[in-house]
Amino acid sequence: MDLIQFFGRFHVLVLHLPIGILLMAAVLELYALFFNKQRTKTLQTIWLWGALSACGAALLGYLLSLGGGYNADAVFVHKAFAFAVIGCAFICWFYFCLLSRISSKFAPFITTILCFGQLFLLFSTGHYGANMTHGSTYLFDYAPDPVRKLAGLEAHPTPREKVTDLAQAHVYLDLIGPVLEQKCVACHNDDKSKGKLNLTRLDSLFKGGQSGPAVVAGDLNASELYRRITLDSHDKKFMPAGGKPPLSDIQVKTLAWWIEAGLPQDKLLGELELDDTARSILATQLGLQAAKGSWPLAKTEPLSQTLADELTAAGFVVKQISQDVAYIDLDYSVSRQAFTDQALEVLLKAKDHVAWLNLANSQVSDPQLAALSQLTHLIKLRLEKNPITSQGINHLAGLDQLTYLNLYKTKVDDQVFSALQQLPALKNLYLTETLVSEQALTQWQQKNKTSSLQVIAANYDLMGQNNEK
Amino acid sequence: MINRRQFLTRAAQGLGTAALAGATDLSLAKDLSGLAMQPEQRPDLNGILGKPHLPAKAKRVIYLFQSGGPSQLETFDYKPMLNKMHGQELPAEVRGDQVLTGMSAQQSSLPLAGSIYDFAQYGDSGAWVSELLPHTAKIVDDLCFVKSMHTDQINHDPAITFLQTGFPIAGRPSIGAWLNYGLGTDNNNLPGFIVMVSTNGGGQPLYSRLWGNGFLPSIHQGVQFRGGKEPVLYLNNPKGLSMDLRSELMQHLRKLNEAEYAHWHDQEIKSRIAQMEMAERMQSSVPDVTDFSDEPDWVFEMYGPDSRKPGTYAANCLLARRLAERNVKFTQLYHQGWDQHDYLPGGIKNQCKKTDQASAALVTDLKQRGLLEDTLVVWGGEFGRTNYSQGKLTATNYGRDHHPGCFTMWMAGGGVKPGMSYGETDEFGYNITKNPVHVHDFQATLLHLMGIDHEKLTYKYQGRRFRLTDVHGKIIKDILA
Repeated sequence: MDLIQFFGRFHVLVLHLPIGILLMAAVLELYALFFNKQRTKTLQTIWLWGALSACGAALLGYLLSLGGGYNADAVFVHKAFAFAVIGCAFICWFYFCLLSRISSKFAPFITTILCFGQLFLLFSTGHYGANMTHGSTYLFDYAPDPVRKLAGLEAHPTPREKVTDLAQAHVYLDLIGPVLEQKCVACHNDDKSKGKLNLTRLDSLFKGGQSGPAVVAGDLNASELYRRITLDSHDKKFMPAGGKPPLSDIQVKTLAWWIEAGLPQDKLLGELELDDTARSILATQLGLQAAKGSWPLAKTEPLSQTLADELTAAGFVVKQISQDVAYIDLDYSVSRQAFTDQALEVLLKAKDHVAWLNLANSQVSDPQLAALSQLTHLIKLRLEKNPITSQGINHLAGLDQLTYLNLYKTKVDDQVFSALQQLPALKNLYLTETLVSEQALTQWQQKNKTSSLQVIAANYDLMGQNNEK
Repeated sequence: MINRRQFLTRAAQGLGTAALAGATDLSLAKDLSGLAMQPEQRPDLNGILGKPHLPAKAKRVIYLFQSGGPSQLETFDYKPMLNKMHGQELPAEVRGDQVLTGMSAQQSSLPLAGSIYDFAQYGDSGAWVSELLPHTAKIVDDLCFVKSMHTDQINHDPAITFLQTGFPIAGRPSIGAWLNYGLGTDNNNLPGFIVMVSTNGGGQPLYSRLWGNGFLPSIHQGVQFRGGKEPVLYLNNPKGLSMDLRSELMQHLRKLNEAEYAHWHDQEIKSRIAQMEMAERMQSSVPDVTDFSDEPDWVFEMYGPDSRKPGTYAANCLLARRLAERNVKFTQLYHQGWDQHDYLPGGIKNQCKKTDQASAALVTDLKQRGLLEDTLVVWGGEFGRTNYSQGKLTATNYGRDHHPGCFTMWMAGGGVKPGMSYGETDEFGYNITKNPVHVHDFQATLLHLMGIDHEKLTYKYQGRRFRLTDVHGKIIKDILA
């Protein structure tokens, strides 16, 4: 059995021989005929080789079909056409060998019929074979509607309207179906059901495959489908097999949620009880919220090299955030000069790109902070060890992406808390060794117990006498 | 005038050089010319990748390497079962097929040894910490413990080499060298990879190849700061030599080196030029970073009294913080002396005393300065220690042999979940029962936090593309914040 499969898989290699050879033979025959050119005798040999390679491909194809996993009807059609190709190829060989000896007024007519017939059979066999590998809809999946109509297919279904409200999302049509469609259905469909599993419809999904049920309500461990997509990606049994793109983390979590929720089918999410984790997973899968840890800003074009050079010359260390994120990370703290207005001017030229900015220990002044409010894409801002005050921080109002603000060892005082309302996204604020009093901090923390903003301030116990205000 | 002989010699050299240059362009360009290629992109600053594969959670690493293999059983992995079965034989089914070292394999008995030190739970996360580490106990909510580390190696040198380079045999680049090769530097005035070995450790030796560049250009090797008053020697100009004169000398030297490079096309000459220039910048940047006189007293009190003695673990921790403030990408501390084969209770107590306060202070200090956000701190050794006593077990004394099967590390900051414990060992503290983390998994995760896909940072050498994680490594997704 294994040896049969071993040879069978060579079918996909060998099948290209008859396609190439017979195509060449037919085209050369027709060329000689129509353009009245000398016909080379080598063509006889080419026809014979075409016929023999077709036999070889057919034999290997038969071995492959023994392995199963293919729709019997599809195999039958493919096989029938393959036999026709072989038959036609031998007839051609025979006929063209005799052709040099007989001469009839029908000869050109017969040549034309045979050659076109051979091409038709050849392409049909190839087409039905490819349908088994890629699925019968593969060829016309992306065809424009008029072409699909010609091929006798329905026009493209109007895509489901994009879900805008979690409660209105349909469990199968919006969540589960699209995941299976994208990652599984190419090999598990009506025509090609590897492991006897068909994932195009719910009823066949519930029926499972040869390893048992694909999903078991409420039981992740017994759900073969879940087990296979969560194996180590190097495991032989990992799905999707053959190095096809694996399911994303969020897709895996969506399927896990579905199985644990008891496999609801014809329901809207609004009809189900969802906890916060489930909500977050499903909203991410539906594209209603950004995935955790994904880059929060809209895509942008990379910074121009000229501007990057200008920033470097002004004393900044310039780094692009990552290969896919064209925002930049600027660092002035290692420059040995104070932050001058000239440097500020260059910085403002890049204001659409700066996401992380480090101006620590650079003699930044309050008026310069006013200009920084133009950097609306700022996510992290390090201003520690600068002679700046709460008035300066007020200027930062409007930086609504800012999540990290470092004011360690600056001259900000209790007034800094009033500026915080203007920074809605702020998550981490550092106020150690500033003029902020312990009372004001405690007071603020009392008032904002539920706030997601974490303030790290002076370790008053530790600094003791040294930091008396 | 050139005479006939000179003409012929130069012509021949020219041909040779041209041929060599051609070969360089074809096969070695990508791999060897980190400094020579695409000058407009400043690869010396941005590394071979130009930009990280993904946004970095950590921009720098401080790796507190506890050399010798600290016992997990007296520090973080609490196993009351060992106290209950104190003195009884290690069950054969627990030991399984674990090979022992020659040091305890001949022992007629392998008696289980419970920790002589008490444990308690701390913080909101309820992490178990032994009484030897009172300062670490205070910061457990900032730490992520990995209790299920395991390694392939059972002796010090191969195990440390394995952790630092991803391979137990010497010759591969170390983590810090890979990071600098891939990402470049964030501060061109200091080396991107700095190593310090505590002077108050002692024990199994360390070798400079542990922070070596392997087959990477030598500019990426770790620069060791010496313990003591003068961390880098010969930084000051010799008497009578002014800075201007020195600069001029350096410029001429550079010209000579460049002429040599034009002749030989050896990339190591480029590395040499870059190192010379770095040394010149270090003449001012190193005194600035190593001079602690601007630190207030409360900082020294926080790191402990040792922090005033240059070269100690505590002083090195404080220096590591100062380097982090100056954007040094990879700072590695080595503290030796954790190899307690015998007299473990006394030995480990002593070691903890030297390291506990400063390790905890470093995390706290980074946190209050807002640096823990993007600085990854790692604490751990090269393997764990056995749950049975090596040598005689008495009421107050025992030893523990090397144990590669499980050990504990902690990480803090830099995109790692705080206040969590990952992985579990069995009640004997011998085998891993949940979420094992292999050395390559740790390395893959570290690179991931720095924005590098560990499978994509490679270097072709002797016909093969090498990477830090060899052909292994899975990112530990569950500990990512």
